[in-house]
Formats: sequence, structure tokens, C-alpha cells
Amino acid sequence: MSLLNYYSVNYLDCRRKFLAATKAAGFSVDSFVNPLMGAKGEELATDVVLIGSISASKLLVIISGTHGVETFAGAAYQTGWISEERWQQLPEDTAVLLIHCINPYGASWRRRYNEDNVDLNRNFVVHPTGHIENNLYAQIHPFIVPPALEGEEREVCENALRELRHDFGETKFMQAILGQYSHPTGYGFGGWEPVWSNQTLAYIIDKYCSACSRLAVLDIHTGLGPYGYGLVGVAHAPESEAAVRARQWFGVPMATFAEVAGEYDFPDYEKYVDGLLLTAFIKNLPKTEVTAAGIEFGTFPYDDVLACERDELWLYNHPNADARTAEQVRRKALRGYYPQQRDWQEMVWWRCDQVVRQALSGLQMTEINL
Amino acid sequence: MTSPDVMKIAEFFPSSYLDARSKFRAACERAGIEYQSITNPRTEVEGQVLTTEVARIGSSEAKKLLVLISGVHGLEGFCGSGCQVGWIAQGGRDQLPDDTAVLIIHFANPYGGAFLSRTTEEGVDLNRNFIDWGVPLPRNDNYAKLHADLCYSETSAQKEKQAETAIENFQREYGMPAYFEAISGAQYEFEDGLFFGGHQSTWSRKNIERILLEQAGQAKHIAIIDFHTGVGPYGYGMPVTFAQSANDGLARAFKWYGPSLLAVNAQAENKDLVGDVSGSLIESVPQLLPDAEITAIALEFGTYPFENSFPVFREDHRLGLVGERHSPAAKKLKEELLEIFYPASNDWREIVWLRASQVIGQALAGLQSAQ
Repeated sequence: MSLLNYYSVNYLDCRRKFLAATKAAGFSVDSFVNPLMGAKGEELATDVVLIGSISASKLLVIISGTHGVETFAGAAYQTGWISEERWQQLPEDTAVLLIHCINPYGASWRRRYNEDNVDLNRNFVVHPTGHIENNLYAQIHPFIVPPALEGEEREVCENALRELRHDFGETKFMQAILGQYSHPTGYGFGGWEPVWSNQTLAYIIDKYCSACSRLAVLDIHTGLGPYGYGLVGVAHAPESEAAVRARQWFGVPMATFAEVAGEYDFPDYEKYVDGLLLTAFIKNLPKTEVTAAGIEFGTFPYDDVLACERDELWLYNHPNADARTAEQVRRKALRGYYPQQRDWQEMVWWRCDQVVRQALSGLQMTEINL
Repeated sequence: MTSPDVMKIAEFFPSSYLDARSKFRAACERAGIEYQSITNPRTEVEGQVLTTEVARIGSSEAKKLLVLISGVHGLEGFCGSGCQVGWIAQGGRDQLPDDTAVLIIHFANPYGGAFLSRTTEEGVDLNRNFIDWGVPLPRNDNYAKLHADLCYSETSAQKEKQAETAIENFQREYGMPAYFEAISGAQYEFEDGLFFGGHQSTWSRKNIERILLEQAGQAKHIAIIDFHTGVGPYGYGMPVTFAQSANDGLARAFKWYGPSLLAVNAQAENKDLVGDVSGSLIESVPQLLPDAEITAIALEFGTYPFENSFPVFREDHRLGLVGERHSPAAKKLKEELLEIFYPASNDWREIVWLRASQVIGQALAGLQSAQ
């Protein structure tokens, strides 16, 4: 079967393929049902599959869809991982946990954020003490969330945003939009309490990750970097033992989030690391050796992706928009995060396969050889 | 799809120029592909002459031709060689569409491969050498300002300090993008300088042109992939075109290679990624073969950031100038240089090979769509 068949363009198909692959391979699924309904009226759920023993001392967790609309790359890999029988080659005493669509609402509605308009990757802070004050955001809020999709009102907004961005300069502009805890309908909102996906993940971690002593986590993202390139970024401090270990596993193309921040000119990015989903594994399992990484696959230039996100945010704030307009906006959002092209899909698959292999062999290494 | 066999892929990739040549010849022989060895008259290594190997696969009448070139920049050729050997070993020949042939030029600059250099035996950057000598040469005035401080032969702490200060002053005054453009763009003034494009056609240039005229003359549609390394993120393969308008095939290149294509001359923001390069091989081919429709890319595989690599590259060049080639320091620099242009990691090689095979597939599909 061509690996391209593992890819889907909507949540319903994506879930169907994953469940069918799981069933065909004879694994059981633990489904965590979200109380809301999907865009096609379908059930929304995070589906969890454990391959190997729950008491294995080494565990690799692969997560898709932290940012809903980004789900389809990671989910395709998860489905393919099962169908291609990668599990046949699992090392001894090693298990794999697939967490499929941790933000199913976002996946179904083709949005980065969740049902509460929360960026799940800003939601894992301690509430409310961990809320980062971002005073710049308030200035940019009326423009980054457009008042209209097109027409004169939109043009006025775009001109104002351009002017503000120019006055700010790129550094300050990025500071303004990296995250905020003040505007619930806005861009990059981190939430005021743990959202459904956050609570669900905490439950999954408790249930499936407590027994292992060595844990690797891969959270698959898209939308940043060169088209089809997969950068591994770890949620550990640059000089920490975990970062050194991760460097040994993943080699040169691994970066800490502080380095990612430098690479893409995201000032203050390290401030937001504490809100990342990956940190839940570190915080909730203080006695476990955790190596937590994201893989970020590039799609299109940053400003193009940003434009898709902003239109989608307009839609979120205008739920009565006509169906055709809504579909156009969502289709564009999906495309920005998910180029439905063969070369991109192959590159994503190959790189995921490589990084998963690196993580699985990393878990087998007993000591760090410096 | 079966699991990629990393070790098998790793075997395509050579450990030296002579190893690359044996692997290439062996792959051709196993696949029943004939090849020619063209001897470079000027140099040898370990008592063996240096050669560029040329293999043509498919009918000599074919109207569509894919050309795969490795080693224009000497030591960058280990990567390209691995991709060429991989294509042959994985049965590329059996999957060729009708009326389509493939021409492989293995180590266009064998001297650079054998002696771990980017330049040819003439000290020339071959990818700056494909220039029309009949018209005034491009000028690089900023390089001229820097040359004496980049490539001095005097070895003293005082000179070193003076040179570094001068370079820092230049960077401050003109900015880093101007600095990198000055040093890597191309220059035709200083024979002992960096990225020197030459004063006449090198052996390698004449050899490539002869091969193309002999082997590509029949073809109406020609795709060229010229393999390089050292630009872009580690392990990422980025097709680069110099085309800038519909007339010279920019739209066609985008159709074939998609959004990952970098159009250096058509997208101003990309200038600082690759620099303003004159005298490149791929840009010169349309003049050489005016009757064919040419779609030519350089396929750049990323390794390490240029700003980290450049000091090594420069110091290696400088030691060459003072004739220091066999000291432990010089040997260590060569090892570093090799890693910079050809990472030893099997994971790098795996992802490079997968991407290379994909881009070769895109080129072949593109040729099929040509009318």
C-alpha cells in the first residue's frame, strides 16, 4: 500500500483509518470521547493505543494533533506505523503508545486551537500563577484578529497591522503574538484553566506512562520551517542532562526550544516552554527519565501560515458566517498546515520514521557517552 | 512500503574519491551499464590517475534526457556520488519511461574529490567558471576589499589580529549579508583567492561541455540535477534554480519541483541564502545546447550553518596557499572540511538518499509531461 493512503484531509477519515488499522493489527483502542460534536456531526475522541506491555520499562509516546489542524501529518504516520507493522521490530522491554488526535475538536474543525479557542501548547502552565503577562498583545489584538474577512474594513485592519508591525519591528512583533493569557477570543490564547485535552492527557499519562523508567515523547507538528523539513526540538534546557541525551539520540538536527527561538527569531520563546504539552510528561513523572521532543515540519512561509490562522480566527469569532465562506476559510487553514502533495507527505513520513527509530534506539542506550 | 534499510543505503555512500569510483564502477557493472572513464591529465592520487566517469542509460535516440552530475565542487561529490550509485543500484534503469535516457557524470571535478577541496586542480571554483570569457568579467569590489585579510600567507599573531579586525570592521560597515555575498559570490581577480572563478575554462568545464555536446545533442527536453552540499538545514534537500522568468522555464521548474524550489533570481528574499552567483554550470547549459528545452537545478543538501563552516573553509584555503598540506593541523582541517560538506552520519545519508530519489522521480515525471 502506498504510504500516501495513510493521509487524510478530514478528522472523520483520519480517525476511521486509524481505527481500521488498529483493528486489523489486533490492538485494542482506548477512546477518550470529547463532549462536543465534530464538524460533520461525528463523535470527537482522542484514541489511544498501547503496543507492548504496560509494564515495559521503556516507552515511546507518539502524539498527533496538539494543534488540531496539524493533526494529519502525525496521524498518518501513526496509522502507517501500525499498518506497516513497525511494531514487529520493537526492542525487548519496550512499548509504544500512540495518542491519536489529542485535540480532536481542532482537528475536526480544522483549527489550530481547541473548542475553547485555547492554544493547547500554551495551556500546560500552572494556572493562574504561570500566566505570562504579554502587554504587547493588547496593542495588536484588534488587528491580528481581523474584524472582517475582506472589503474595506479588512483593508483598514491590514494597513493598521502593517504599520504596527513596522513600528514594533520584527522582534517586538513576534513578542506580541507568541502567546497571551488576557484575550480569550484572540490569537495564541493559553487558557485560564486546564482544558479538556490537557486533563485527558494527564489521565493518559497516569494510566499508561507510570510504570516505565525511561520515556521518550514525540509530538508531531507542522507549519514552521522549510517545506517538508522536519526539525526536532526538545523541551529541555540547553545544557541539561536531558538535552545532552537528546543530542546523542537525534544528532545534529536537534535543537532545544531556546535554539529554535534563535533560528526563527522568536524572542522570549523559552518563557513559553512551560506551557507546552510536552512538559506534562516531565512534570507529571518526576521520577522518570523523560526525553521530550517535538518534530516540526515546514510547510509554507511564516506570513502565509499566519494569514490562514488569522482568517480562521475571524471565523471563530463569526460563527454565523455562511457555510461556503466557512468552508473556504477552513480549507485554506488546512492547506497552510498541510500541503496535500506527494513530496511533502513522503518527506514527512521518512523523517518521522527516522526520528522514531532514533528514539527507540536511544531508549536502549544505557548510558550517555559524552 | 518496506522499512528503509539504513545500512544498505549507507553502502551507496563512499569514504573517499577512489572508493566512490570503485562503487560507481561496480554498480554500473552489476546493472550492466556501460561507462567511460575520462582521464584528467594533470593529477593523480595514490599512484592512480583521476577520472570522471560517464554512463549513459537508455536509447541514444531518446528525446528526453535526465543528467545527474556529481562533484562539481570536488568534495561535495561524495554525497552526489552516493545518490548516483543508489539510483543505479536500486534499479533506476528498469523504471525509465519510454523515450527517456539518463546521463550520469560522476565526479566532474575529480581533483577536488581526491584532495578534499571544493576547487579544481587549477584552484578554481568550477561553479563560477562557466562564464563567457569574451565579455567583461563580473566585478566583486567588496571581495577585493577583503582579499588581503582573508587570504594572507604570513603567519604571525600580529597579522592575524590585524586581519580579523579589518574583517570585523567590514562586517560592521556593510553588514553581514553584504559580507557573505562578497566572500561567496564569485570573483575573477585573485587567483589565490576564495571562490575564484578562473581566467579561462578549466579542464573540468571543458570536459563537462564535451560530454554534454556528445551525449545530449539528440535530446529535445533535458533535465539537469547538479548535486551539491553545504547550503540549508542539515539533511534537507533543496532544489535551486537560477531561472527568473517564464522564458527560461521558471514556471516549469515550479511545476516539476513544487514549493520547495528556491528561485534565487526570482525571489529577492532568497539572495542571501545562496548569494549572487555568476558562472554556474546550470545557468550556462541553455547556451551550450540552444535547441533543447532545459530545466536545470542544483540540488543542495544542507549540512552545517555557513557562518560556522566558513572559518574552517578559509583556514584550509590559507594553509594551502602557504603550502602547508601535511601538518597535523592541515590534516585535521581536512577532516573537519569533509564533515562540513559530507556528514558521516548514516541518518544524514539516509534522508539525503530518500530525498534525492524523490527529486529524481520528480525530474523524470516532469520530462514525461514535456510536449
